[in-house]
Amino acid sequence: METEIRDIIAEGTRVKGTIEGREPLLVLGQVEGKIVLQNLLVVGKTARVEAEIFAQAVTVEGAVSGRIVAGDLVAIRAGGRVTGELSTPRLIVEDQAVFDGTIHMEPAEGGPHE
Amino acid sequence: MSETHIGPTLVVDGEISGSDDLLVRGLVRGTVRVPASVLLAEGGLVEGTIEASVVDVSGIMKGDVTARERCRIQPGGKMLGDIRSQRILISDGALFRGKVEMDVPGTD
Repeated sequence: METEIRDIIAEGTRVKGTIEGREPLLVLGQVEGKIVLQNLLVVGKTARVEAEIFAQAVTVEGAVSGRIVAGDLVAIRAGGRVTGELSTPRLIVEDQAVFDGTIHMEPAEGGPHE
Repeated sequence: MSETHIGPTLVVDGEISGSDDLLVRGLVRGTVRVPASVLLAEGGLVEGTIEASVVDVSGIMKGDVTARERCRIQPGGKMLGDIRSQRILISDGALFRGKVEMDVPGTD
């Protein structure tokens, strides 16, 4: 990413509830609930997210359980762990990533935000 | 220790806790409970309660603040609610509507 992510849930922080935003968000801590983002969500290595996630793009380097609905792309990087349900037009699962659940790949035009 | 940053377009409904400092430029509705500091920056709004060691209000706080060490309301900051703290600083140009309870050790 060229732009630096300014919205950060830091490693020692826990959020229980709903997070909504328009800017990219980096989660390094714990989130329990729901994330609605019209942008990129990065779930960092130290993060533990138990949530329903709606975002344009989601990159997972940490742990996510729940449901991910992406308008464009979900990328589970090496070391990332996802349990649950994925719905996305594009999907990357790297070697050394862990995924357990169901995948729905939808056509790219007219994502869930349109 | 790192800092959690709630930017101008971010809205958090619920509970924020943990060991990090917190900087709020967006909107938080609910409960904030951190051991360190909360900076409610200009443009930021918290509707709910804050419990922290140090609380700085340059934005708008609607609700009660418990600051173990100190609470400061900066010029332009609006505090609508009660403050409970050992030390309270209110700057010229700040707005405050509420009660103050100063918990000074040794006065009980």
